[in-house]
This record gives sequence, C-alpha cells and structure tokens, in this order.
Amino acid sequence: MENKFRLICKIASIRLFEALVISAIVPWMGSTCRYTGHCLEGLSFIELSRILHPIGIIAPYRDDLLRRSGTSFGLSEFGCVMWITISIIVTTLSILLAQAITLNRSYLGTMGYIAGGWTIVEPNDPCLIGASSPSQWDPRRKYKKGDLIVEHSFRTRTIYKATSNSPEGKPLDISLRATHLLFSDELGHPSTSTVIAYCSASQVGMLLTTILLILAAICLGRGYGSLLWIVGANLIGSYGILRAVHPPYDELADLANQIKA
Amino acid sequence: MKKNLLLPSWSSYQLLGPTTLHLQHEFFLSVALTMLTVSSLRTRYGESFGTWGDFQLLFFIFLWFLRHFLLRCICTSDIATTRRPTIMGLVAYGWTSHFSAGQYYDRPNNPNVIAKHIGSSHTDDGHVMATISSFFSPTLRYAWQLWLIRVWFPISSIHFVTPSGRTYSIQSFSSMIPSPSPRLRLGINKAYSNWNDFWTLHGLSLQSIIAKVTTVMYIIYFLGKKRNKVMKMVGWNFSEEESTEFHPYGYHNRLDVPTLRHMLILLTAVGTLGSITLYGRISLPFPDLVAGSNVLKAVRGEVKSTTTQSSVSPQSRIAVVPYGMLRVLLTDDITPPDVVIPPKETNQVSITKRKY
Repeated sequence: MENKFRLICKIASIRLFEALVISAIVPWMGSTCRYTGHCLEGLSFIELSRILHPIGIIAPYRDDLLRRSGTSFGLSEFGCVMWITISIIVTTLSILLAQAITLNRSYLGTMGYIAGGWTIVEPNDPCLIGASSPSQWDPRRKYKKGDLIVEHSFRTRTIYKATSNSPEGKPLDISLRATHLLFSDELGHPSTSTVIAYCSASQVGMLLTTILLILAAICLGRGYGSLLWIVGANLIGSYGILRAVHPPYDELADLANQIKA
Repeated sequence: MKKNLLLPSWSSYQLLGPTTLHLQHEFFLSVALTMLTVSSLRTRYGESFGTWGDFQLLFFIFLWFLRHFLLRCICTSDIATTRRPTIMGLVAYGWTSHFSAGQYYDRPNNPNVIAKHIGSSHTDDGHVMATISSFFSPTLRYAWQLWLIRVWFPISSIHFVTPSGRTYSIQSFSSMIPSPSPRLRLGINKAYSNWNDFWTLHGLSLQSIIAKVTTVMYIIYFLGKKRNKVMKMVGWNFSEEESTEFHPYGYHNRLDVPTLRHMLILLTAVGTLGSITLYGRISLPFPDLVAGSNVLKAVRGEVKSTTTQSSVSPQSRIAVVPYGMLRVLLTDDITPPDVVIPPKETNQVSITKRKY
C-alpha cells in the first residue's frame, strides 16, 4: 500500500505531462495542421519546398505563410509558447493540489503531523555537542525522543533527531518531508488552508502578468488574441480553486435559524 | 436556503453524490486546458484560426480532458445495493473494476478475502473471482439481481382476475412447470464445478487482457508505414508487390489528410499509455476515491517494505489494497426476501484443498 500523497503526485505528473502534450505540442504538429485544414493541399510549407525549390521558387510570394504569429510583441511565438506552457503547468498543478487538499484534508494533515517525528539537525546545533556519534537508521530499532541518526546520501551527511518517542516512518523520505512541510498545519475548513491560498495566489499572479503582457502588446501595436485566451483560462482556473473555499453562508444561516427555533 | 433549481435534491444526490467539489475542479480544469489549447492554436495559425477542423479538434480535446469528470460522475453514482440495484450501478461497477483503477484498486489475491467481500461463504467463489478478475461472476450476478428485483418480481406479483372471480398470478403459472429432475440438477452442479476448475487453472485476468491489448493496438498503429518493414524483418511479408510505375521529375506523393481516428489516437495515447505503465489500467485512478485510508498503516507499510524489499515483489504489495465500496455493494444480504435457496449439494468438487 503506498501512501496517498505519493499516489497524488504520480497521477498529477501523468496528467500534467498529458496536458502539456495535448495543449502545447499537438497544435504544432504537422498532422494537426493538415487535419484542421490550415496546411494547403495537405502539405506544410517545408514539404512544399522540396518540389518548389528545383523550379526556382525559394520563398513564398505572400508572407502570411511564414508569419503565423498571433502575438508578435518582440518575444514572438517562442515567448508566447513558453508563457502558454507555464500557464498549463501552473493551472494544472494548482487545481489538482487544491482538489487533493479539499478532498483528502484529514489524511494529508495527519500524515504531515506523523512525518514530523524526525527533524533535520543543523551541523552546528548545540544538541550535537557531547553527543555520541550517531548511527545509521535501523527500521527494527525503537528510537526515543532526542535520539540522533545519520543518513549518507549523495556525498552529503544529514543528521536527524527524533522529536517524539518511537517516531513513525523513514527519516529520509522525500514524500514524508514534503507532506510535513506542506500539510502539517492543514486542519479545519478549506478556507483556512495555506496551500489553497498559495494556489490561488499563483493563479492571480499569472493573471496579472498576462494582463501586463497584453498592455505591452497594445502599446507596441501588436496582436494579443492568444494572450486573452490565457487570461480566460487563468480566470476559470482561479474560480475553480476558490469555489472550494467559499463557506456555505446560506446553509450556515439556515442551520442557525433552525437552532434558534 | 439556496435551492437547486435544475434538479430536485434527491436526484442530484443520486447523480452526483454527496459532494460536487471534485466534479467542479475537474470541469474547470478541463475548460481551462481547452482554453489554453485555443491559445496555442491561435499562436500557431494567427488570424486564420477558426476553421471547421479547429473546432472539431477542440471539441474532441475538451471531451478527452472531460473524461475525468465523466468517470467521477460514473464512480460516485454507484449508490446501488443488491437490494436496490440500478442500471447506473451496473455500469459503474463494470467500469471501475475493469477499465479504471478507480475507487476499487486491484483485487486482493487471497480467495478467502474476495469471498468475504462478495458476501459468499464459499472459497470456491473467491477462487473464480481471483482468476477471471470477477467480471463474469459478480457483474453477471449483479445483473441477475437487477433483473430479479427490478423486472421479475414486479411482473410475478401481477394478478389477473377472471370474470368468475378467480385470481391467477404469473408465479402460479411458473409453478406449473415441472422442476428439473435430480439427475439434471446433478449434471448442472458438475458443469458448474468443471467451469470453476477450468477458470481456476487456466483463467486470465480480464483487466490485464484489456491493458495488454490496448498497448499492442497503440504500438501497431504508431508503427504505421514502418509496419511492413518490421513484418519483413520478422519474416512475415504480407505487403503488396512493389509498384514498377515510372515516377517523373517533380512527382510527389500527396500527404493524406489524417483521419479522425488518427487524431483521436494521437490525443489519447499519452494519458492511456501513462496510466497503463503505472497502474495497468486504461484510465487513471482517482486518488481521493481509492479505498484504504489508514495513514499510520501506509507509513508503517512503507517502512516494512524497505526492510523486506528483496522478498516482496512490488506487485504483491500493491495488490493487497482492499476495496471499499464493493463491500457496501455486495456484502448486503444478496438474497431477495421471496427467494428460497435450495440446500447446497454436497457432491461439489472442492478446489480449496488442491495445491498450486
């Protein structure tokens, strides 16, 4: 049985990869171009040049075949594609994280608390003075509060200290460390959640930056059509995240009325 | 109080379950990703964006992203019990146990556990379900229950009243049909036990068959035109003879416009193959619907698995996850109130004593 945080991470990574392929790579593929009817006669320009070059045509007469940019504000297509990619990563990860927090809150909160059984000790910490040299972690041994162990990995030497009697879990487990860092304070209603606050803040940050880019594009007199779609996507994403944290005021008022009566 | 104007509360609960937050997240995520795809297409094609093909492609991309939403609807609508079976429950049960690693993870390997979960006291039933991935037995059993309770009992309880005042029911007609002779009954039992033996020894897991066949189909499709070359290398040569047609200067093969099938396979490949690689199912699990939520057990289990890593294979570690909702579905007493179970025949071959 694997812990649920690892399951969430694996699934989120697959879904992120899939979203990147479908939303960022598939629109640039030759077969998409032919399927959507943008590439004439079913041939992209690079393929046409194989036939046109021998008879003397080396460049198209009209330049709209070459310039396919909707937003060429200096950064040109490349910048726009990078911005779309960043939006896909931020939107997908923040919504999936918010979903995990909303639905598995008590599980993740409990795991974050359990994972606090070991803490990393700095090399110059006063508790190391006079202590015997720490041994390697042994899963069969029972540790007491204040016991020290050492882990050697990638040429670094990390010392862990037990903060409670018989602490649970492996000391060097990235998923447990991450859970402790992210979810140890997650309790109560979702509106009090720190992680959801960070998720929505990242969405709002994306939104503001995109709006700034649009303003820049307007000042430079360039097209900004695709940036508007990014704004829309970020708006919808942030609405989706914040939807979970609305306290149900109507139902609470109804409950209060029932109690009063 | 806020009223749901679209659906009355009982039907919205039946359709969408106790919470709709996870559905909202999935829906908004798919809309946002489709909008980002529009942005990509717009960047690529500029002002010429907006052909019929664009909208077609976007529609299919939206549907593909929306599959998590639809599957969650199917999974959470599984409120049926064996006393109150519904068609939606049958669909949910068939889908979640074979196509998606949804709320039911992998089945346990232990036949005793499976038999307990399906509400049977016979280990033989558990054996059959472990081997044929429980498709033929529980799904059909559930379908039979649906037929009995929803169709047969209502029909059989209809009474006809003749003008003379006598009442007939369908049940009274069916009782006129003679019951099978003891000899025939023996034959049926023997056939059943042979069927059990056959599946226990030679049966394959249906969910593994589905995953393998899907992978092979994708591989064959993506080999595409190189298929013939590969076939030749292997030794099969089914391709037509090479054409001896003269190709003049400037001749070129026109590239075909890809079919809808090609585009759909292109869109679905990454998600499906990724899911098969990690979980052996064609659609991804929903982490919040996966059964088994004991934090301490999971953390301790991982520690234990590091100490005995050499002896325990990763597959068997995953396979012991129990499945939660199925218990609700099937440990309910499966006997409808009006049916009397005949005593179990003692001449059945017990396969539990056999060594494997």
